[in-house]
This record gives sequence, C-alpha cells and structure tokens, in this order.
Amino acid sequence: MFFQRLSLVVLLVLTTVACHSAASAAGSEPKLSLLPPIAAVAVEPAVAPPGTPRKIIVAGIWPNSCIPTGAKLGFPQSWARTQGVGILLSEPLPFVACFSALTPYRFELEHTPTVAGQIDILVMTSEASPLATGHLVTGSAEAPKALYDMTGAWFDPQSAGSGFMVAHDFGKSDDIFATWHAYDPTTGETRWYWVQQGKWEENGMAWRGVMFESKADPSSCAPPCALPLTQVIYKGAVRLVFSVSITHGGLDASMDFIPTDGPVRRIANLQRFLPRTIVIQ
Amino acid sequence: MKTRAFATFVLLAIATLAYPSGRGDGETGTKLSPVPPVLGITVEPLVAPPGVKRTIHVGGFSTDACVPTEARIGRGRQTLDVAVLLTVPPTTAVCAQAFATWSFSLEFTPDMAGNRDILVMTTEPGALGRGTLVTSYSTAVRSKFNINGAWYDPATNGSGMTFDHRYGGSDTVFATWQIYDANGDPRWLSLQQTRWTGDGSVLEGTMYGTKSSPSYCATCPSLLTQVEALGEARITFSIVQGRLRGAFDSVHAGGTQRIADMVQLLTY
Repeated sequence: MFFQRLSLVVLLVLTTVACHSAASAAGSEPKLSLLPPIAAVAVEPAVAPPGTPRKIIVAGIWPNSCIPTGAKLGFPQSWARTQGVGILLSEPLPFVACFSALTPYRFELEHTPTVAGQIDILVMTSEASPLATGHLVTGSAEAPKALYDMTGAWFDPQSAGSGFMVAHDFGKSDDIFATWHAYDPTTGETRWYWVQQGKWEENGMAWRGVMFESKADPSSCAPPCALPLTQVIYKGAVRLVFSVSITHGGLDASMDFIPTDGPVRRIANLQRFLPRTIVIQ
Repeated sequence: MKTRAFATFVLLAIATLAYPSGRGDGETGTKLSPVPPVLGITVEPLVAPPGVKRTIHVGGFSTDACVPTEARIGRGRQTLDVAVLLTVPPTTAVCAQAFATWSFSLEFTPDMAGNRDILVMTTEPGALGRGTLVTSYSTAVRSKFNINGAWYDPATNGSGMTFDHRYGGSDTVFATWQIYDANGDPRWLSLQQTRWTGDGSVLEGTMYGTKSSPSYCATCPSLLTQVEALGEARITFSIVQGRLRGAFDSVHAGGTQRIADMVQLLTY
C-alpha cells in the first residue's frame, strides 16, 4: 500500500517534471513545483505482537545522484528513558560529484520489538539533516495498541453542536477517556456521557469502551459550578472504528452505540474539529 | 534561571537515585522510580520572526560517563524540521558508572515562519526526543504548556474539562466543561475564542451554552439551535510539585470566582 502510494507520487512527479520541461521549452507558463518525497517511513507489518520481526522501510526520491550509501538502526544509550528508534543514513562525502537527477533509494532494516508499545522512529542523515518521522507500534491480541493518537475534538457535520472529546494517552498507557456531548431528547438541554474502560482491537484502529451517565445531588450552587458525582448509570457499549481518509489524509471515525436493550446503532460519522497532522503515507 | 532549575532537577534526580541504591537489595520497601531529564530541549527566544537568530539548548543527564561530546545542527531538505545530531562514543566503548550532565547550545536562524520539529538523535543511532521551534511574525503570546486531554478537580470528581489544544501549531484551544445543573442532571458548556495571555500560562476565553431542538433519543447527537455566551473564563496553568495544574476562574465585572483546581486525568 505504502509503495503503491509512493509509486503514484513518483509517477505524478515524473509527469509534472516532464510537463514542466515541455512548458519551459514552449514559453513562460507558471512553474509547477511539486516536490517528490525525499524520505518516508513505513513499518511492515504495521502492527504486530512482540517477538515478531518487523521491517522498517525508509525510501524516497533523492534530489541528486548522491543518494545515502547506508542506513543504520539503533536505540538510545543506556541512560535514556525513552526507546525511540533512530535511523541514521550515511551521506556521501561532500567532495563527491553529484548529478542533478531524481534518484530513488530504499533501505529495509530489520528489528524485532520485545515489548508492546508505541515508539517514535526518527530518520536523519549523518550530516544532521532531518528526513522523516514515524511510529513503531507493537501490540497483540493480549496487549493491543492504537496505531495513531486519537486525541482531540470530534464531531459529525450532520449534527454540528454535538461532539466527542477524546483524551488518548498515546505512547504510554494507551487509555482513552472521552466525553460524548449531546442534548436531552425532551428539553433540548445539554447532556453528556463519559466513555472509558475500553480496549483497542488488534489492528490498532478500533476501540470498544463503556458509556456511562452520571448525576450529582441537587445543589444550591449558582451555576456554572462543578459538583462531585453521586450516581453512575451504565448506558451501554461504544465502538469506534478509525480510518485514514484518502480525501484529507487525516483520520475519520465511525461511532456505534451498543445499548443494553436494543440493536447496535450508528450514532455518528466523526471528523476532527481542529485540523490534525496528516497520517497518510 | 533555566539552568538553575535544571541543576535542581538533576540534584533531585541524583539524590533520588542514590537513595534507593543505598537501601540495598535486602529491603522490600516500595522502590522510587524517578525519571531524570534525559533530554531537555529549549529555544531562546521562544517565539521570534524569521531572520532572528535563535539558540537551541539541548541538555540532559546520564548515568554513565559516555555522554555526548559534540552536537551538530542541520535543516531539512524538504521539511521545515531541524535536526540535532549528538556525537556519542561507540556502543563498544567502556563507560564508567557516573552521574554526568551535558548540554549544548546551538544557533539557528529560521528563514520562514512556521512550526518546526526539533529532532534529537545520537550518532550511534538512537532517537532521544523532539521539541518545537516556533517562528512567527505574530506578537501573540504562545502557550507554555501542552494542555491536551481530560482534566478534573479531585474535590468535585465527576465534573471535568476536556481540552483540544493545537500545541506547537495554531495554539488554538477548544474545550468542553462537564458539570451538573441545580437538579444534579449532567450539563455541558464549551470554552471557545480562546487566547493565551501573560507569560503563556494563562488561557482566557468565552464560555458558551448551547441548546438543541428535542430529538428522538438521549444518546443521539443533534444540531444545535441556540447559542448563548455565558461569560469569560480564565485558567491559570502552573507546575506544582512536578505536576501541571490549572486554576479555573470565572471572570465577571465584580472580579473572579474560583471554580476548580484541576489536574490532568491522563498525564501527557
């Protein structure tokens, strides 16, 4: 999938470069300036249990013929408390003559994680030039892990004014705590529910948790005021399925409600409210 | 000031590390598990326009003598990112057990506005972490902290706020406040049109209440039909005993009223 997309980008670039050359020869039309990706990181398989050999692929189109000559993978020193993967690409020595030519390159590095979790992958060259970043996600059926950070405000454009606030401890506990903001069916007043105690599914793109409603004792406090809850009501289960959108390159999510007494119901097709990092590669 | 704070942290870390080792293996007490600042990345000035020389400080703490000996800075060929490559002894080198601190100050002049990642790595490839370099023409105050996530006041556990914060980006904050009405029924408000003030630790914005038309089910979302501004809110963030806290005040003509002293439910 990754390389299909990369190939598509390369084709587009070559087409654009060809068109550009033709255009330059013909006259003074505005230049197109679509740059090919110098580097992208992919992991195959994207999620796998601890102990599974993984392939970390760094590939791209170098702007000249002096492509990196080697790649080395490693972990921080013993004193480091984070365990991000570092990949250092060796650049040719500065006095080597380089031709101007888009040159593809590709490195495949093997690594076998021993523990479940999400860690950073940083790629840079021996000349301290940053190239790309990614994540190595290791999870299993027993210890599933999310593929992306889902933190943020989500809403369905069909029901703007309602929404889902997600706090996701990505890279650490991977817990999700979320609040679902809706309205009272009879009065139209605001009403909220909380969703937690969930678990990721093995592919790291679906999560199932439990929805509760809470109440407080009547109070003489002049609103708005925060109160401790005194009653918790179980409402049912919630399943979120995340997907990468080929329209905007970010994440979308479907939200299904599984009540205690009724059929599964699609509640919302969610998008992020504030713009997020593009996750597509 | 920053150096002093870092030194204090290091001293604390050393003291805490030394303490459990002094207790010996024979004891069965709860182990302390301090996390010393292996890597700190700061930028001075924090925000500046393009063309202004910036100093990136990268420093840390090591439990052996094989600390970084040199640091190089480089820019991305295609991205706006900045890389800091730390030269460390080869993995085959023998490293004496010793507490050691290290730090480097590197100069970098961004040529265009935007937010760049600062990626820090070692020559024996190891990803140490990342920071953010913010370059902006705007004189608007930027946030000092990433406040993303769910917050609550332990004194009113069951109420809370959830923030969506574009930290390191637009710095926009959208938040919801989960509370109860006089009858004890759950109600929520939103905090919008936010701005950072002071030294970047104070968030101010407007609280809004919304209503919808009656709908067909309680858990179903529905379109809002009414919006009402309920007043101004101010949240002052600070680090107390190593933990980020938020003091939430409602602001009105007569002054302010403390509503909640919040901590993060999930720690980021």
